[in-house]
Amino acid sequence: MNVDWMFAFTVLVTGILVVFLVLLLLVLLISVMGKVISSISGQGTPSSGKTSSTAPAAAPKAPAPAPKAQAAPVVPSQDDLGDDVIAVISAAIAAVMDEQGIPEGSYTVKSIKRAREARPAWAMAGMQQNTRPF
Amino acid sequence: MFSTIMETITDILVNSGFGQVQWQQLVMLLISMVLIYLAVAKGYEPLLLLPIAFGMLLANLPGANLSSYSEGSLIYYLYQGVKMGIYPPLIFLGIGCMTDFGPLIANPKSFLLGAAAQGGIFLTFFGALALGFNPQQAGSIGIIGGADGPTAIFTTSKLAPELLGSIAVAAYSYMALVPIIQPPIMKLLTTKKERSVVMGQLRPVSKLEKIVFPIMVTIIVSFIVPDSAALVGMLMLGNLFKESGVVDRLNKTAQNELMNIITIFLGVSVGATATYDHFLVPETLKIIVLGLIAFCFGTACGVLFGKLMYIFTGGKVNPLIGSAGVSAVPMAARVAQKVGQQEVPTNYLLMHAMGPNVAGVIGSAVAAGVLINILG
Repeated sequence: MNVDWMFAFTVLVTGILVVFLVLLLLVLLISVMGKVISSISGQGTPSSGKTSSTAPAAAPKAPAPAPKAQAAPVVPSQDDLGDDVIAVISAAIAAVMDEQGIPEGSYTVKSIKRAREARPAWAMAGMQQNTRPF
Repeated sequence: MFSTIMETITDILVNSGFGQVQWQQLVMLLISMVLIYLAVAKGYEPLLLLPIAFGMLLANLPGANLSSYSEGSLIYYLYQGVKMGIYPPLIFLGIGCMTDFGPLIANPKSFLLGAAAQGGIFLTFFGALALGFNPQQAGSIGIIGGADGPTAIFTTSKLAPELLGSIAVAAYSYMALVPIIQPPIMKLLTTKKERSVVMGQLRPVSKLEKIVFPIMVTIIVSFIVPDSAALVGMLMLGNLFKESGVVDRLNKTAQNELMNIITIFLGVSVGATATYDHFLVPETLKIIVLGLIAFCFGTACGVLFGKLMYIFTGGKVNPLIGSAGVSAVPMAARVAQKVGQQEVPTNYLLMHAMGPNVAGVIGSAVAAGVLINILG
């Protein structure tokens, strides 16, 4: 059978090109629409960070002694953490580190910050419930 | 007296199915029963596969003249809705009522993944030409890679109606097999690190955006590819019914009663195009193989484009969601979700995958319009 490969190639290129162009145009227009509408309604797009890799651990490691709470250098961000909470968190970290075989004294707790979660616990629970049927 | 009775009985026997049956019809009855079994026992897209399979059975009953080609028969008239391209857009109306374009509006870049996955359509077009199909038939076979039943039927009814039965069966069978076909390709083309990318929440989308979206998409797509207007226009009309919130009755009718009625008509009459002389030909086997290739290519193109986005966004996009670009709503998105969770159990890719998934529906409708325009 005589196949016109030139024609076939034209269909291939035109097809892919047109599909991409149409959808690219939609990407642009919808992005613009999103911005315009959110600016009109005066509610700046909530920067709920579209993506993030795994949630960072609470304890940054640094070579220094004493795993116990060092109340002085702790920067308890917005949450006003009491000494006892800091002690509990530090103890928990020490326990986990110990389990993983990381020796005491090879790290120190410098600050305690809330880890930026991809999704809050309640949202996660709701998501799990909603997507269970899938 | 006795001879008259005998003559009448012989006459009835000769005119009965037993007297007229051909072995090919028996094979077709067997195939239709296998398809009914798959629909009933295995749950393979039963809403469409069951009427299609029973349509095949009816069309191959000897002497019953119930195929879509038998002028004057019930199914012949039902088939006119397929032939004239009426049913698929009406199905799209119902799909529009059930589709939430929110994830796509929140992350419009998903459109690109929906476009990339259409690559399978055009690559298979090449393969079909090489196997000896004419360009119209090759375009119709390629569209199986769009993984969208109504679009495949719409395109085939315009370009190569003689292949309607085999293409519809192939398209719906592969859509049902998405969870089996896609994961190996997805895993083959991605690294563990890429599959583990956790994607956070999407931004909330306002009601106004959801209302403007269908109007805007209809105008833009129809201006550029007018041949897609019937499919995209009805899809978006359905979506506007849903999002406007003011025509609840129409919304309910379109997604329930109307869609169910059309599904019955479409399924039976498309199935009844598969008469033995149209179906039991070597071309059917080629279509089934090419359909699978189209599907695999589509998935691969989506995932590879996802990888590209992964690189360009500095690892913020999980390439798995690219596979959902092959329409097959919402099955393909569920597959992306499942494969993602195999790496990170707390990762919820479903909503992110719904973006490319619904973009794929628009993408395959655009691809269909392009093919109809060039080849029609």
